[in-house]
Amino acid sequence: MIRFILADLNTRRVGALLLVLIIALATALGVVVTVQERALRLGSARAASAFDLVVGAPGSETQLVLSSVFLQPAALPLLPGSVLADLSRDPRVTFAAPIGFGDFFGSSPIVGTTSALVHALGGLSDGAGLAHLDEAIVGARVALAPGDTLHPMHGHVEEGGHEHAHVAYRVVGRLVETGTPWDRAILVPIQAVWHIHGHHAGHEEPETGNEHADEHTDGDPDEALAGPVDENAVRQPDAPGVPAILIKPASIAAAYALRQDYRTSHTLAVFPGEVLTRLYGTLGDARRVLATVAAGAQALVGAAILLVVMAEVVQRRRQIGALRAFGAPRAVLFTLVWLESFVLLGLGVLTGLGVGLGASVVLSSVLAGETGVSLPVTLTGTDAAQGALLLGLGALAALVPAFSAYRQSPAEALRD
Amino acid sequence: MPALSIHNLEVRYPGLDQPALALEAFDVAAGQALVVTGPSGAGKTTFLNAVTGLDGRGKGVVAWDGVNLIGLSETARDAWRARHVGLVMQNFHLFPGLSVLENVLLPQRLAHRRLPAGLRADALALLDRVGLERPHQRAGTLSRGQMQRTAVARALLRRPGIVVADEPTASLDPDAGKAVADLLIDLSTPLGATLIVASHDPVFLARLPRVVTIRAGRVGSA
Repeated sequence: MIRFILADLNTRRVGALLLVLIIALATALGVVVTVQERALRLGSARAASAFDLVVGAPGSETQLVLSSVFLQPAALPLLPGSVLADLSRDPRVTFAAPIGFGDFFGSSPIVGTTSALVHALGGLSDGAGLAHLDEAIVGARVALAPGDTLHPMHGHVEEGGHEHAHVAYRVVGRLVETGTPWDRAILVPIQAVWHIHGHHAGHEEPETGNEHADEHTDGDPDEALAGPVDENAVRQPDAPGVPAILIKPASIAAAYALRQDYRTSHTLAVFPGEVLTRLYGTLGDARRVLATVAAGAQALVGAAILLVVMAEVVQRRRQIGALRAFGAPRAVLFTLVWLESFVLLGLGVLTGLGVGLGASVVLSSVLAGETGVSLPVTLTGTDAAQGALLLGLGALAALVPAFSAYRQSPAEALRD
Repeated sequence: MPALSIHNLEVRYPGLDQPALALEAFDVAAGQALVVTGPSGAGKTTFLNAVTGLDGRGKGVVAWDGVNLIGLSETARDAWRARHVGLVMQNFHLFPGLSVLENVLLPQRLAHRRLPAGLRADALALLDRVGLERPHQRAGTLSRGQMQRTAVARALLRRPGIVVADEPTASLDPDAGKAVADLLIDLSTPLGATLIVASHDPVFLARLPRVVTIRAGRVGSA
């Protein structure tokens, strides 16, 4: 019987192949929507896991999270230096690390910070920490090795940034891989950033993360970076401002208290997890819409295929009826048509699962390349259940043409 | 070999005043060979459908050795036909993608979980007998005469007690038609099968001992 089904499918392979392809594409669509949404959720949650509490200047909460956690370039207003100093001394704070950006090396953002952030990101896989102002630690996916030298650009090079020609950092260490945008970041002492951009204690100019080719002049362009890192510099109330501060609260209670205290007219404190949850809510709605569209597409494809299979049964009723006339039991013909329809459906669904997963992996790696957020493609038990449900529905749908074949009168089929 | 006995058979189709077939008494002795002729639309196909159980509609008795096909369910008629009847149709109803041998074996393959022992050898012998030397050739590449000879082999494989053919030579050229007609008669006779052929082919009219003419649903002369 299998031999017969294969021979039969072979004689109409073009049509059968097209059917399988259509089913596969419809299935793949659903798979990609489900898997990709999950990957985005897992990936961004993982990226935010080191960021308990972020404090910035008043503005968009979402932008603060995107810029600090995901290093998305944006014009963030600066916090006064006194905020970082206060937080550094606060007993409810385990550590407070500044996040100061504005410069790039290639496409890698250069982030001014302190050793606390290095620890928060998981520590070093290679080399040593920041001891001097001209030292830098690179993320796992930055194409630089300890010993290399880099000149920072103010702003993106493709957006008309200019090079701080006289400033050079020496790479001394490499961060462990985090699967976050920080894998592409370069960490330097915050004091070095202040120095390059002419922030000296006591005077501040509004500095933003994303201003390019401006009239901005370097503090002392001829003066190279030198001297040891002074981690206490951030504790000075007259220190220059920073766009964002990452805080590790001492306890959960402290976290809520700090968030409360720093939601003021001149500071904004957010739990990135909370902001992301809100984003997921929106994302979830979008996913439901997409999933509904995908399900609708699948239902349409299913109906179209049933129609095609039915038309085929009608067209082949002579063959089917003749087989009965020549002695094949109708139950066998029922099984035959059912099996053949189900084989096509099953092949389509399985191919679609494969294509969908493959497309998700490709999509994830493209997105990871662009954003630095690694998007894990994962399958859960629910997926298996949904796949089984789809196959079950297919098995049921295949009963329709099978039943039609069963009812085919051999006498009518033979009448020409 | 089964004998056919028909009493008071009346088959009507919806929308027609006259019955498509009305036979008060019609008998065929076991092993007899007869040819059924008559103008098209006169009821030949209805007659063949009734005696093969392809169509179970109608009133009366169509009995082969006492088994009345009119009272049987579709499944029972299918099973009875599979056991007793070999069919040859005007159009060959072969699967072009399957080989000659596979086409001959297909109904048996579908009817049995395992092909009964010796059936394959029987099929090969039968194909040799009908003059098809390449049993593994695809049926779609055969000439029409070869196709019908394949169909004859398929009909006779299980050594049926009843062989029924509906215009088996009508779509063939005269030479191929004569070859098929001769094969059908020559292979049915040694089986002792009751042979019923609906045809106008002079070969059948000349070789078969009994001619039945059906006009307007009724049997004319014998």
